Amino acid sequence: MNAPQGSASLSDAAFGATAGAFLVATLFASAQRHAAGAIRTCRLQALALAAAALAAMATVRTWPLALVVLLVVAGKVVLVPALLARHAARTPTSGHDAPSGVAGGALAAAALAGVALLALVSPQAGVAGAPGAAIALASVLAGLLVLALRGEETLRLAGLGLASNGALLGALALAPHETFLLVGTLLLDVPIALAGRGPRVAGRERAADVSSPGA
Amino acid sequence: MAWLAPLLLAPLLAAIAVLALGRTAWPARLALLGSGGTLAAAIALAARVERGGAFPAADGRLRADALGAVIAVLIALVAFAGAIERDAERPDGAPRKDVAPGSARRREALELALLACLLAASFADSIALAALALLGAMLLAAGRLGSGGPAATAATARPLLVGGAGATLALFAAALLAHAGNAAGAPDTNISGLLAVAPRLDASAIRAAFALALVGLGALAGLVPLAAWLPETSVHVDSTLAATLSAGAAAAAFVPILRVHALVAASGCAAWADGALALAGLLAMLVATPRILVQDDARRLLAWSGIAQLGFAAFSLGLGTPLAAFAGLLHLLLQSLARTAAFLAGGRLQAGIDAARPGHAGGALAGSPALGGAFAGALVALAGLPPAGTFVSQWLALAGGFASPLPLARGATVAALVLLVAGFAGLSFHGVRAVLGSPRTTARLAWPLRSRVAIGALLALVLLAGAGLPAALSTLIEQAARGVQP
Repeated sequence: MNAPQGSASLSDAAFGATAGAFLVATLFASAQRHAAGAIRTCRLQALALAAAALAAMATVRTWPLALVVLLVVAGKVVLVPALLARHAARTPTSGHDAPSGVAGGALAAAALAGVALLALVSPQAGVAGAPGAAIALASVLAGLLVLALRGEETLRLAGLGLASNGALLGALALAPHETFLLVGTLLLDVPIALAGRGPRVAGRERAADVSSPGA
Repeated sequence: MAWLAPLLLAPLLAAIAVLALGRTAWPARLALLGSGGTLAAAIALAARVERGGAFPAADGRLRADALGAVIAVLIALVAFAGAIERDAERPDGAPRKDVAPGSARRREALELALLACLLAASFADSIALAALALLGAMLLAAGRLGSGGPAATAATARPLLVGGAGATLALFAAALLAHAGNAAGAPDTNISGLLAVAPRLDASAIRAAFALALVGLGALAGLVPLAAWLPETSVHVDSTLAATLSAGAAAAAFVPILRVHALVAASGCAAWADGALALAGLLAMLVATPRILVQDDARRLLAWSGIAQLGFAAFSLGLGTPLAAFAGLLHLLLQSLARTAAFLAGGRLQAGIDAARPGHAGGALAGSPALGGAFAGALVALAGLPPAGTFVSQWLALAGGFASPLPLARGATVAALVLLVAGFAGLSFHGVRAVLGSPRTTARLAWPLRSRVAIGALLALVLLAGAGLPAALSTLIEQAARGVQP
């Protein structure tokens, strides 16, 4: 990441450690087959993300990052997992994965491991060699694979959450001074919150069907 | 900002007015005024850009240039035609009794806010801002869905998930661009700021950013690999929103892709950027054309046709010749207008005949000669037949491709020509089935005068472009093409 030359060592190590924890959480989250497990690991990943934002703030001394930390804790650690849990409770297939989900998890984990490994062993010192950016990109790809290949709606939303968390980690690693970009990346949680609307409407329709005289 | 503010504020103010005054006034009429004012502001801005060149606004976050101006006029035209069409739903001029006032207000306010988001994306000089504006547009589009049965509710999730995934990739691209700009000492991390230091930018970073932007924003535009959401969503929305998504939103999402393409080209990777854009376009055509051939649902047919034609425009812009770049932008413009006319006329036919399948809705011409004729005219324009302007834009693009010094580009142009012919065959086959034959219903289909004017004006623009472009429009498109291929 773009750290000031003199004060980078300790905080850079802290950022690397939190990014490593983020990577492990992403690995576990993308391998989950049940909504409850995915939500739990998403929360862990968000905690690691908040820690990474704290480490970035200590490194680059950009105080608007404190706002990002607060928003990550409020949004990604508390609100989004709660909304996903409500969504899982409303969705009838909650707790059961589609057959393609196993393959999806395996593919996601493979993509994650492959991209992270390639990036981490890259001899380049530029973007491709930055561990934070590589882990972030791997998390985005893993999240998108979960979104694309999982059969259950809540798991798909969790996949989108993994991807958006990866995008925020990427913004922290690559452009920690870009407050607009960082706050904008936090807005990626809005579709996850709103996507719960579909099954709720469907639930109302089912309720209307059941209560209608002809049903 | 004095030129851009009216354009961006007109739809927002109209949306607020619809929500505030909709109970006493007519929401559709207010939306008509708002979108009409937006169109007037877009045309005024285009004239200003054509005469005085590009200029920044909002502290450099927005930039009014020829590309943004052309697309803004297109988006405003599509929105205005849609507003007229919705206004024409009230045949006697009174509010419809079968639509709750609150629902009508909400629909019009969402349409106007969607228009503002698309315009902001067209003028955004930053990928992050463009991605957020397009994400906002997807959220608003999803707000129009969610009723009409389980299939429609399932369709609600598609714009949300695709919008979220696309915006995620685009924001990662923005972070990469900001990193590259900071490393190169750019004055700011907007596209204009990055262009100032383009030769010093880290090539690997901006190539990766372009690839991510192409996939992420391409998902919102309806380019492969994340394109299938658009035809499926089009089935579950009214014809005006389907036209907005397929024509307006697709064009708005295409603009930031072209801006990053220009940046990559200016940094010394022009061949790579052109190749990636052309390949993405060709892939979109390759995926969409078979769907056109086997498609028997009118909405899906039009949406897949739109994906194929957007792919052709991308392919043309990626050929790297000035003629092909000009033709690609012209094709994007004219195809979007023709598709809007087809969606609006098809929606009215569908409402009258109550059949979505062209094979079942046969005899449109006999059932309603004027409306069926308009639908047939729109299909002719979509197929790229003369005298429509799409014929000219297609052949200009192909001529530009064959004029390329690169054998690979000439070979790819042959492949694009084959796909165009196949798409034309599919569209003609399904179009003939829809238009000719015995009418399914003996009742005369009503076609209000306002709707006739809106659809007729769109078709007239496409036809007139075949005869010749106005000098001002031609200059503006040339300026935009030079911006895409610096």
